[in-house]
Amino acid sequence: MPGAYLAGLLVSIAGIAVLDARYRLFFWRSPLRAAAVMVIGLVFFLVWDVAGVHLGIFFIGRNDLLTGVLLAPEVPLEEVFFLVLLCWTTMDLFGALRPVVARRLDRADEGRRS
Amino acid sequence: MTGSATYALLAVPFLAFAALVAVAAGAVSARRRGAGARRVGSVSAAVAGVVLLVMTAVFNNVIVGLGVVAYDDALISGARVGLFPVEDLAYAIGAALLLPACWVLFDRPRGTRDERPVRSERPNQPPRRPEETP
Repeated sequence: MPGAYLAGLLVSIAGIAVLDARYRLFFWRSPLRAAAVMVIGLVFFLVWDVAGVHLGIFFIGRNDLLTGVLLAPEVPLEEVFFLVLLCWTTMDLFGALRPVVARRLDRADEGRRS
Repeated sequence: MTGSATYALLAVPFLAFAALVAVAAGAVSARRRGAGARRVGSVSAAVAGVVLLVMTAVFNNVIVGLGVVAYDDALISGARVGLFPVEDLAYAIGAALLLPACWVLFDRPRGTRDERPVRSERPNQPPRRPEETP
């Protein structure tokens, strides 16, 4: 079904956006800073993608799940959404882990001192 | 093993760049907020990276299995994690190195206020009057 992959990506992105909003992890912590990180991530990975496509390493496989909209040869529209998902997931994880890691490290330090 | 190192070599400059940014962020973080902050940042990013690797392993098997993406067997090492080339994992590593580092670097150095609730953000100054002189 054309568009199924995009739909799956959008549902996933909605999920991490909800987590972000609920726990103030990334965009909901600092919107501008998050936007800057996201833009850098997208540019970084798109350059990587285009280089890989240019070298002929990977390309669109045989499927009927894509919309068929291409941003560049062998770079489907869906790739941008995949990269948004990758970057946002990374930063949700990082945002969620920081307080946990800080607490753990503090406790470990105290344990060592006493 | 058939195949080649082309895909693996492609990752080298990108991971090197991401690693450089990560080291820079570590240095900046330590200078601004002390070695403890650097440790929290790097441990958090490392754990996030491990989780991402696991998530990538699941996700990539799905998209390669469904034929969303395919690879030229002559340009990859041939080592696979299930269905996808092991080189794909470099994306997750790159993300964990680069993005948390950028987050740290884009932190506006205003004391140690950042990690607290937003309430203390506003300085105790009277609101500036709009445009006293045009």
